[in-house]
Amino acid sequence: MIRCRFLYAKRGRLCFVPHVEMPPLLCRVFRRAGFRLCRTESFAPKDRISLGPPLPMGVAGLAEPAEIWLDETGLPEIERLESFSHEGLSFVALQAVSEGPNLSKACRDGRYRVFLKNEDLLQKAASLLRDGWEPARTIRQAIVEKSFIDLVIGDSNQVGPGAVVRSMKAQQLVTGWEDLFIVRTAMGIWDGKRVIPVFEAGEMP
Amino acid sequence: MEFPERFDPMRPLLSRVKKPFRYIGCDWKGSTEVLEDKKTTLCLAFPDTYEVGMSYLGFQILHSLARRTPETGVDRCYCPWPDMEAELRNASMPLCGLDSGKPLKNFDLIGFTLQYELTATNILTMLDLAGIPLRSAQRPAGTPIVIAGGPGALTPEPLAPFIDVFCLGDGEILLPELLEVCHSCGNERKDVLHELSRREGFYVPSQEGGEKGGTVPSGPFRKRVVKDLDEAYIPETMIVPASGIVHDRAAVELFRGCTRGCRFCQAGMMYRPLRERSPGKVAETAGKIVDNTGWEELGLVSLASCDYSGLEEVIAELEPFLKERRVNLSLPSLRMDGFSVGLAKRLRSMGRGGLTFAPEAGTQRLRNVINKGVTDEDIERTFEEVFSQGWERIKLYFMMGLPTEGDDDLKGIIKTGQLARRIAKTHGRSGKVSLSVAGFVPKPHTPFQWVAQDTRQELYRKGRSLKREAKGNGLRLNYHDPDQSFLEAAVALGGRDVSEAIERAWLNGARFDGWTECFDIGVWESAFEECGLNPESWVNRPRSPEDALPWDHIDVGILRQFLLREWEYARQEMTTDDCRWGKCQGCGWQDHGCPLSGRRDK
Repeated sequence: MIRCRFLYAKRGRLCFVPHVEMPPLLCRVFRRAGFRLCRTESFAPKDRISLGPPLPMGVAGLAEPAEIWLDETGLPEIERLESFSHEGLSFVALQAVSEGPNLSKACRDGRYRVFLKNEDLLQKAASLLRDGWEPARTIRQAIVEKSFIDLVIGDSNQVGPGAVVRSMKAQQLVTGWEDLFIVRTAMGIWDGKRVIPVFEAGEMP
Repeated sequence: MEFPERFDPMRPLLSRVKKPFRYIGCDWKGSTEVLEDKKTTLCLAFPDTYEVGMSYLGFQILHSLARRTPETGVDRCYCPWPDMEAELRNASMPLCGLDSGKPLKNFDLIGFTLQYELTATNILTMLDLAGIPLRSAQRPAGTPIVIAGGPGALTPEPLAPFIDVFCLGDGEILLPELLEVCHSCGNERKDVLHELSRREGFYVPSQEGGEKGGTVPSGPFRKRVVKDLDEAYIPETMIVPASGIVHDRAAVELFRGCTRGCRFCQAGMMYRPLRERSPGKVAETAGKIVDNTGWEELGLVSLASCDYSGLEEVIAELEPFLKERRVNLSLPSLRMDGFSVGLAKRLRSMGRGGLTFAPEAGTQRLRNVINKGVTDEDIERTFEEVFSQGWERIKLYFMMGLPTEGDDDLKGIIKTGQLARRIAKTHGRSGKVSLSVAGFVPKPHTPFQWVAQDTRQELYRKGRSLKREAKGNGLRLNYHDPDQSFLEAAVALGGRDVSEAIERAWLNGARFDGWTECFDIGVWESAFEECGLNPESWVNRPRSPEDALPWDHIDVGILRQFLLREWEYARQEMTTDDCRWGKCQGCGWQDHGCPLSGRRDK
């Protein structure tokens, strides 16, 4: 048996697939690629897979962490998995994990890139941030760039982009999800300077 | 880093609707081919939600078959839920193929699957969103040819003005021929319709006349069938959804047709003759589909899978393979006998939450009337088996309003539920028993096609009374909305004039009429009234064998004499044996290639 930790990207329209639907989708990719999956030992056995903190529908992910238990001796090749993937799904990195904390402990904080509809709104957001506005209660860092805002949000299992959208609505920056585009660029642990990814190979620019 | 998805014109719409995954088209093996250089382009259209349409095996077979047909480009489309319909209208965006994004009106063919009467208005929604005139007569040259197949095509008149060509019978033989005609006619509407009207298996209403008021063309228009399922096209892979659907599993069809002869069952009559796929072919195909799709469950499907003569052989062959792949096996329909329960136990994956059976009627007398072929002893033995094997829950399907039904038969439904509970207790089980009761809908091409449906008031009375009785006996009981059952009958038994009411109801806002959260009988009552139609006059009154019926011109292969004889037997509470195991019952297929006749001759 091999415990395979991996990072995947969820892009395009695939980001509208609910988080809860991702385990069967990913398991089917592994199975199509010819890998045998371990099953849980419950009354109704299921494929053994676990995902990182939920990603709301509509939010893209560049390095989403997950773990799957395979009844194999070696790790799958990324190219092989990709050739059996759905449009919008790609594999960023894989590694075998023998021990260590479970995934949720290694995914405490998330880094998000938020694109607003236009530059005026971005400037307004920048001004609000300078005045002390906190888009969510666990914001670790907020940097306004030329065309987006980079946010690091802590306590990812409890707080996510939904809180940011609600706050932006309250500040009249957006009317709803349709007015912005959010990408989760990394999941890991915030060390005060950066989010240390679940494993380094998955760190995105 | 670039994010082109930011600028996807569908993105704002997807962000606002409740279930955006219905419209994203990220399925595995969804077609990504370029359609532009194909001679003929076909968009298969399912007039219900994505989750329902994706669960229908016939749709998957047709999609795969069209993809491998030379010079043919294929895409698919499902009916947008009202929230997405409103979004598309607000944005002035047309309905497009799910995989290609190509507007439906730019296809050569739009192919609807007609599975259920209450999807009629969804067809109009899809045509309208596509910018295609609703009525065949209003479609100029260059407009896509609108075809329709599936069981609903065998009772075509209520939809006849909206459909250019009905395909009668098995798609495996009709679709390649239709595409070949389109290729050879350069997709010219007039030529294609003319050519198809000359061929067996196609009904082109515009070429046949038929008048308002229920008069129908003479016909007969004969259904065409695949004679040997082993020779028929069978896909070795399927489109795998990116998100959950109703029947989320790989599927292989064991056999087509059914000879049990349940007198209420339209599918049991219309899908005849019985044709079994060989166990070897089933096992071989199942292996490929499982590996190619990655699904964790395989369903062996047909109208009554436990009746398949090669079931033991197939399971024996597949079990080691599926075990090695960690794939569960399931059978969607269980017979009421020990064998089926034992099978469910053996397959483990089946009935995790409980087992489901369909006694259909509460007394032996009424089960004889409908020729259900299940005895009181079968029911008791099945309950014993279910609860002794460790299950805690059971669900039972019944119908109310069946022909000759009396109060005792309704009481029998409750008594059957009580029996299940009693037996559960003797085995130390909690015995949660759910009863689901549907209003009987007389269907065309069945022995009960001449029968009147109970009035809505009568069905409501029966439903409420059953619910009250069930509550007092610790049973859970739900009954289908009698207004929906009434509308289902009104469309099923209707003639061409019903098309007026369908269009009127759609204009008045009727959508997804099979979904209780959308269904509004008031909209339909107004529509019938505005069209000067009184549906009670054909739904709640019996038809005489001398009456012309709106589907008389469609020949599904079943003899009228057979249906009449079965109706007479029903009135006499006489049963008819399943011809699979006994003598030929002369349904009509014995002289037209029924494989069972051949087997008997040998």
